[in-house]
Amino acid sequence: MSGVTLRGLFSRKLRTILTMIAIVLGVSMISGTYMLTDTINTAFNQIFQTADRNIDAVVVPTSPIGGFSGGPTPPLPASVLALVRHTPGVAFAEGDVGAEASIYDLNGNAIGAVGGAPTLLFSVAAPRFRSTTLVSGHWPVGNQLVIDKTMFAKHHLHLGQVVKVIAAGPATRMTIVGTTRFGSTGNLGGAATIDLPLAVAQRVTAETGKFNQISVAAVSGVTPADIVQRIRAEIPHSLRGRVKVETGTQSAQDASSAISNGLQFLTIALLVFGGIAVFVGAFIIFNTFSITIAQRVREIGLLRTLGATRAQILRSVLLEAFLIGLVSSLLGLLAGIGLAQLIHAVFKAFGADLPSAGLVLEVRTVIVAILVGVLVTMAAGFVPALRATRVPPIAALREGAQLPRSRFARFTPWIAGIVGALGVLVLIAGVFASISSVGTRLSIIGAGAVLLFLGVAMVTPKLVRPLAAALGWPIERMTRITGMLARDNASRNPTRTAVTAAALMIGLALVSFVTIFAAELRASADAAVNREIAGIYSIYNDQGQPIPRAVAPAVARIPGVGAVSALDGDAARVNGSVSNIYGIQPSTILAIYRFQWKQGSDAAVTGMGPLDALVSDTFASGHKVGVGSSLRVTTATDRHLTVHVVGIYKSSQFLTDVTLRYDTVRSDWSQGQDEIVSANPRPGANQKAVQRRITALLKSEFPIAAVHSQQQIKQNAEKSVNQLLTLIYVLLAMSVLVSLFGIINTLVLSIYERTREIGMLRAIGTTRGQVRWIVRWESVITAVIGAILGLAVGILLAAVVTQGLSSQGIVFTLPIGSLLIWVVFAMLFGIVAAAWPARRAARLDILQAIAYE
Amino acid sequence: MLEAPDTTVTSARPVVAAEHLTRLYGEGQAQVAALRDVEVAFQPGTFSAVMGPSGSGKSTLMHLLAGLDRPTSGTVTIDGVELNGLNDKKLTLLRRQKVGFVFQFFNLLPMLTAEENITLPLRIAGERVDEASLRQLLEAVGLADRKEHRPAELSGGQQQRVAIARALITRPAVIFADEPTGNLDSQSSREVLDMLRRAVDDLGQTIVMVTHDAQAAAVADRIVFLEDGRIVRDEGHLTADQILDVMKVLR
Amino acid sequence: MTQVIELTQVSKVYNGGAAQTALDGISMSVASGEFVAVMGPSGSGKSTLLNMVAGLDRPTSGRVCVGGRDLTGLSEGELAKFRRTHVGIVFQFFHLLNDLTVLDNVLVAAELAGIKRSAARQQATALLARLEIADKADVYPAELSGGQRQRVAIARALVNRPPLLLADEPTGALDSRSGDQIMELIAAINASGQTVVLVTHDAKLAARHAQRVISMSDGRIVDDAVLEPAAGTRSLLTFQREEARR
Repeated sequence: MSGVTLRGLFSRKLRTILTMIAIVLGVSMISGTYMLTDTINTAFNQIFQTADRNIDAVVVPTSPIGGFSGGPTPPLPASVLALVRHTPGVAFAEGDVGAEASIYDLNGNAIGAVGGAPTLLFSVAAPRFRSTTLVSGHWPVGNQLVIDKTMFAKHHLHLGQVVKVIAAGPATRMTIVGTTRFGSTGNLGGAATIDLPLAVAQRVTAETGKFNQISVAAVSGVTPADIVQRIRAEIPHSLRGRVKVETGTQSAQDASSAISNGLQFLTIALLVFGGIAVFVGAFIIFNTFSITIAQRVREIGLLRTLGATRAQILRSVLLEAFLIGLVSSLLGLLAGIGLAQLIHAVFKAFGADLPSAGLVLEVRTVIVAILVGVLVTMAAGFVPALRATRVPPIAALREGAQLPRSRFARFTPWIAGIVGALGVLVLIAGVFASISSVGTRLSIIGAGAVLLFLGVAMVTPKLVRPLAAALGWPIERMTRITGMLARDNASRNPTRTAVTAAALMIGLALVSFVTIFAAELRASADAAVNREIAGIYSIYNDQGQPIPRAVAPAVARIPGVGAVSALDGDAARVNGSVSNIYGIQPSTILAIYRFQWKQGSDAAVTGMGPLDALVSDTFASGHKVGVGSSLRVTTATDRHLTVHVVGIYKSSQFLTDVTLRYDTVRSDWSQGQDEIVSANPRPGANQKAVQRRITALLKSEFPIAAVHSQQQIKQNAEKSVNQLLTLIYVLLAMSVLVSLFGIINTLVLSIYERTREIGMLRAIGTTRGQVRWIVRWESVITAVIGAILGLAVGILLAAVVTQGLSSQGIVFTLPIGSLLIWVVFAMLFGIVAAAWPARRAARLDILQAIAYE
Repeated sequence: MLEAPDTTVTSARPVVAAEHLTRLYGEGQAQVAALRDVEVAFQPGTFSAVMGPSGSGKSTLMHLLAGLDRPTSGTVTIDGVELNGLNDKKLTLLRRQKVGFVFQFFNLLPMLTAEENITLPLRIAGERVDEASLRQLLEAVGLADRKEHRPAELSGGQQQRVAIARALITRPAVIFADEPTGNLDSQSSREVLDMLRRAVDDLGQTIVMVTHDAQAAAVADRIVFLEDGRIVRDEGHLTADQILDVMKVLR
Repeated sequence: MTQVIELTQVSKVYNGGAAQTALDGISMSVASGEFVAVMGPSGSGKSTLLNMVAGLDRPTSGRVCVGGRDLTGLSEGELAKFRRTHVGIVFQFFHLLNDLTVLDNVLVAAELAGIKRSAARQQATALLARLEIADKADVYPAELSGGQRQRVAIARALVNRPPLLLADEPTGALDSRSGDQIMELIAAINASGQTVVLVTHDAKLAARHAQRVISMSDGRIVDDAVLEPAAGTRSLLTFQREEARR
């Protein structure tokens, strides 16, 4: 029997290949994701290991508020370096500076890693600790710097060129005197790096006398672990909360795991999209197996007459599924290699240049790929395999023998209803239940969506006939016979059409969901700007980096500028949890920002004392505080203060958790830079002219900052939403592509089955063109059924999720135009899918088609 | 009943004619001649049967005469149109207008009702369905009360009657029937043959029927016997017994 | 002489729209080594009879014994195993698996019966040689003529050395020359001791090769005669004429 299966697969090449594609695509996405993220992790691992190669121990600052604190960790005071140097066993210790910075040429044009990757500023390390090598020029002295050779080449820089370097401190003009490379060949994982003399680096980063890291070499005979112990013992209690001592190796590992934690979101997101593609693929496997088994009824019947038992038939079909799954998984693994490169390129195009060494293929990737491919294929093939066993031997002898109806068929609508309803319930639970973990919440929502999809797919066979009739009506009016036959063909085997359409439904449901959700995000961003932003000019960095404190006073000095207000952003532990902190200037903030009060009024802002706080409604309800409550605040610099709530505002995109006075934040915290500076023109001043003057000032003095009108803020928000939307569309394209092969597959198999009918139609005068259109219209009807169901499910999903986010100012909207585009897309999709099957149908040889057997 | 097709009144020339018709399959040593230099013509309003053992070439002859296959050499003319020069599209349109088919296995579309199956050729041609003549046709084939039924709800004989009505509705110059009773019990066979006979007698329809059933052939006005790709006998009306005697010789 | 087939009062009623009696209390037996032709027009019940004997269908009432086994009480799985080893069936339309080569088509039956691959291969090759298609072992059915396909089907039917060979209109889809050759082959196989039951509506065929002709009509046996070849031909033609006149 196994021989029959094997040889059958080989000779039904086309069918087998079409079936495989469904699984190959999904598996390639999963394995590609693993390969991509493993590769990135490995690349960073190597980078960190190289960087910490000769360092026995490092002393780094750590934030007492713990976790993700939003800003950079406050640096170590110089006193720590002195302590380390006096520790017995330390041969050499050096304080280093490392921070993000921006470089501009003298015309104000940015010089940096293109798209997303940061520009990193380091103090020049002592030769023994150096991981960079000089490629040309010399190491810097005074206001000089060396730059990595990749950046040097990319921006066509030259030695001796003067550039402007901006970090937290004052902008500084410096001369490029050399180029470097990292490790043996590359750069720092796509980041641009510059090295400056320590004192200059400290001045530029506004960290004079402070360090971001102390590197230690021990005397010989003292192990890294020993030296770490000894240094730890030297650190006074007052500093223990802010200082971390570890070996160089640990430090590299920490840095690596920080990267892989950061990549985890990317990994999961990509795996989810891969999973969706596999889920869609399962529908196609199910359909293909169902159809081919129906077509092989006589063959199976013959095997039964020859004495094959039911168990043998079951095993044979499952073996076929196993083989298809296995080969597909292996092909998917191969395709994953290509896909990993492709995703890398896509991310690059969207501004995230991730480093990559040689592609890393972990054993885990191979195992997961094969397990997913094989299990999904076998699971999808199981029900058809069971049905195959129900073929009676007599079927071999009957003309037009049919697969017997499943015993459970009559329960299907009930099961479908239950599964679908359960899906909606789980979905609602996932959206509204109080679940603290975002991951858990999303998993529950995902499970609900899967159930909903299955439920809808199971109920779809009942909807195919009415939907096909409705869709077929205009086509029939337009085309007469071809439309009518197409409609009949689409509805003659409702389950087949339903499953094919359902595969597309999943992709389009998610597409329409994100379409709706993106429209809502854009609308809510627009609404928030209109509602809350009163300032005419908003000055900030487009990449979200902070801007120097000097911007606000400089803008205020520009003729024609009226009120100017700076906003500081930081993070602190408030009543036990890390929260966003905003520093506002009470005297000017009301001119540029409109609070949406829940409790309190603008008067609470103007009368705000140094230890008064405003909190958002979500923060207030989350922490169960109200006006008059006091909050315990711990800063990243390990200061403790108690503030009193004097007002509650509605949480918005601009202000969330806790708002304090600017000077409170400024004197107690370390950030040292502003987030946003907002300004208004003086009454009667020329608005455009003032904006031009601000632009000119920023360009020459503070190129890191740019001025934005309210309109531009909206456009920026829109742009980032659209970027995300496009990215998701691209990732969903895989699922949609899988469903495209599903339609092709179903059409090809159906045409094969209807060979004699097509022969008859051709014999009695149907032209090839008409045959092609019959196939095309059937495909269009199937695709549009998928689109309609997808839209319906997508709208339902969006409605539920939107309801859950209503407190965030997200309002349910229906972008009818955009959604209709997807219906049109489905029609074209149908025509594209039909192209090849239609050609095959039209080319059928009439004589062979009408011949018996 | 329906009006007779034009061809029967306007001309005495044959509706279908074949000259030097040869059809070879395969190549080289494996080449097989299915038909060798066949000359045959069918006059308007006649009912002819083509008989012969399996492999005698009768199906090939029908396929060539109906424009479903192309001869290796020789010509076929249907209603004055020579088929040799026609491309696929023109050939398709010619079949649409001038040829009707009745198959052994009915070949109805399972999703269409009897009435829709019957009007299918008209709809393929994009022509309007004349309700009055459709009603007449339905009555003539005895399916007026079954017109909303789908093929699966009809007996074999009824399905074949639908197929005959489908062939008649375009009033083709000629109907080719390929073993029309091959899949029917004797009662249904008689009904179907009777209906074909009446189409010839009442409508002046030209019918060419391929069969190996002596009873079926006995209904025809003329019987052409094929053996090994050649016409070996060409007789007028014969009884079933006479036909069996001829066939015995042929074997 | 042992009986290969024994039917006792076998009836089969199909419950389509209206109940239809396909077999009406048939009793008969076939002895080992016989060549029996079962004749009758479409719908006479001859195919149903064949299905019963092949273990493909179950009687509504009565007893079917083949090769000494009572099929009535067998489960679905037992019937499957019975078919593997006790009957070989040859169909009108060959029913070869188009995806498999000639040799593999024959081997399928052997594999199902659990015969060792090497032994099966030997047996299959020998059969193909005997049926004069050994040179086609590695081609696919699509490349064969009808007669060649039927030879493959016969090889498949015989590969497990069943006590009974059933042939259902084996020449129905063949031209006269290939049909004759196939019938001669079957006759030769019978001559070497194989029990053969041939179902056909072709009187000449039945008369030329069978030693005994069972005629059926409306689910009953109307005639069961051991024939002299010449006499057989005449009486059968008469039979068909009578059919034609009805």
